[in-house]
Amino acid sequence: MSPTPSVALSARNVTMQFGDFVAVQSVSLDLIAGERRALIGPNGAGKTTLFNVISSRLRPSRGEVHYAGRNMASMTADAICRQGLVRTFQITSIFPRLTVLQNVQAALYSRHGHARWVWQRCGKVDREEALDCLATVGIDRFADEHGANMSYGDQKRLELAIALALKPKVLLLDEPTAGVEAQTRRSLVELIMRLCAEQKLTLLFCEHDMDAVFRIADRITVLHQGQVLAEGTPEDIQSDPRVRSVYLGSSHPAPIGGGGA
Amino acid sequence: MQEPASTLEDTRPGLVELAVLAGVMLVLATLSRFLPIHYVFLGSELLIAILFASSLNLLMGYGGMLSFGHSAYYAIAAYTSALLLIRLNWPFELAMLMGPLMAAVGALVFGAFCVRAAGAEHSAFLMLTLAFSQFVFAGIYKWYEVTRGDDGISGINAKGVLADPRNYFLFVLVVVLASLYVLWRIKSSPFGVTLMAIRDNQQRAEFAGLPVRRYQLAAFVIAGTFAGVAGTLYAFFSGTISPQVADWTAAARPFLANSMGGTHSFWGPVVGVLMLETFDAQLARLTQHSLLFVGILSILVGIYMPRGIVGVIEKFSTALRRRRERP
Repeated sequence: MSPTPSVALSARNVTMQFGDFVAVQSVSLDLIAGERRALIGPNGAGKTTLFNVISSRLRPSRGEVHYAGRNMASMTADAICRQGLVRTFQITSIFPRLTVLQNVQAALYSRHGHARWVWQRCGKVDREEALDCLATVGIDRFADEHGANMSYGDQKRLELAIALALKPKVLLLDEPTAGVEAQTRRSLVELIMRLCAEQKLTLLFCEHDMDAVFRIADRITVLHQGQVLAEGTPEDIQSDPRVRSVYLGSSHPAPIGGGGA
Repeated sequence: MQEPASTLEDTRPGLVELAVLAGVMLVLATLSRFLPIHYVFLGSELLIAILFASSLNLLMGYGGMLSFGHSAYYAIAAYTSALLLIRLNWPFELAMLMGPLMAAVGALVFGAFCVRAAGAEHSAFLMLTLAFSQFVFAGIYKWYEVTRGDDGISGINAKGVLADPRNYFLFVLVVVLASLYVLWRIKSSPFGVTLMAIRDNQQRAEFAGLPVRRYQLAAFVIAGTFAGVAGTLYAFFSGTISPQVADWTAAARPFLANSMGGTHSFWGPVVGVLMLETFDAQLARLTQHSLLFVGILSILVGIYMPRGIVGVIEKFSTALRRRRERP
């Protein structure tokens, strides 16, 4: 632990309103550099909305998000990404008609400023680095396939590879294991943990699968009806009666989640 | 399974392709010396149409931007060259250069509006491009004092060696093939892949740090410039131009050629133009309503060959290769 933990990203009193409906109400959240934070809550709690505000896909109705010492309201989505705040999407978001290699190359072209090159051959530019990214997530054998032809689990890996190619400082993962079966989910969890350790990432992720949450996160924020219900270590959250009642109904005896962090 | 990769996406233009290009050039150049003159005219016309359609392919196929107003930049270039030559008595070489340049300026101004206002909305983008081309058409049609409106402009002739139609064909051949080569390099560059990435998933591209609109605008300007090269070549080929070059039916031709040939492939518009023009010419002998049949044909192609003729050829060749590999 560093003696003075620095804040990588901070949301201040963020409110997001759609017409009369308040999806997120006055939420504040500080991400400490290097931490792995999970954002959990029942469906409709406002997780994805908060996520979209933090990644500046949505402008908050009130409140501010600060990243790298700047108010993000003044920055465009692509500029924020170039500053190292990178996100993935709940429903896998890749470039389906490009090859797997080109998917990652496109991200590298973007980061290295090669996207403006009109005369060099695309196959050669940033090829090795792209292959490295694919190897890191374990799908380099599909390099010349089309992204759309891979299994859903491998598409999730590709999305991680695209994100890695952008050299994130803060990585936002929106339900990184949604929609895949148990074995693939476990290997994705392993992968995410390895990446966080190797690349010293600050991670914020939404997730419904409590096994994944408790294995990855070292801190958890619980949202309920657009507000922060609880925040703390996995142990705190697991034993918090308010969290239990939201998830399971107060009378339910079983603990949430599978095990400790 | 996803359809196989587009032919260009894995093509890396190299010495082989350059050699083929030089070979094609040599054969066509030799032929143009002997063939009856009307074939030479037809050749020039086809080459110009191919360049026009290929320039649109950068937008449609690679950028995923359906433009129904590409004739605007063709017409701006044709009229710029013609007016500078006839009205201001500029030397024809300079008039030729200014055509594509003005087309680029036009594409920059109109494209900025189209890209900004429409973004990813295909239908909005299509309508805006159409609106701007109608704007150009109306400008040419109404501004009689300068453009002579419906009367058109005649006497647009190159001087010296290029005054001879056989020599002009060689000039068109060299300019068109060189332009196609440049377009090819652009399409298979990191910029080309970036365009395809934006086409595939605009949101992902934006969240991969790409200023999407700027890249779309760059593609729009490049496409407009090469449409301008085609327009200027046409003005000097035909000698006479009228507002019809800016008409929406003029924009429909390269659009149809792309959909028929296959927008996903570099060769799609080339095949599409050859087919469309042949079909049109043969039908014109039989009926006055040839366009009606061209329309019916393009609907059939749209329904039964969504990846165009090149898509069908690719399917067959992949099937053949698979068969050979697994006897």
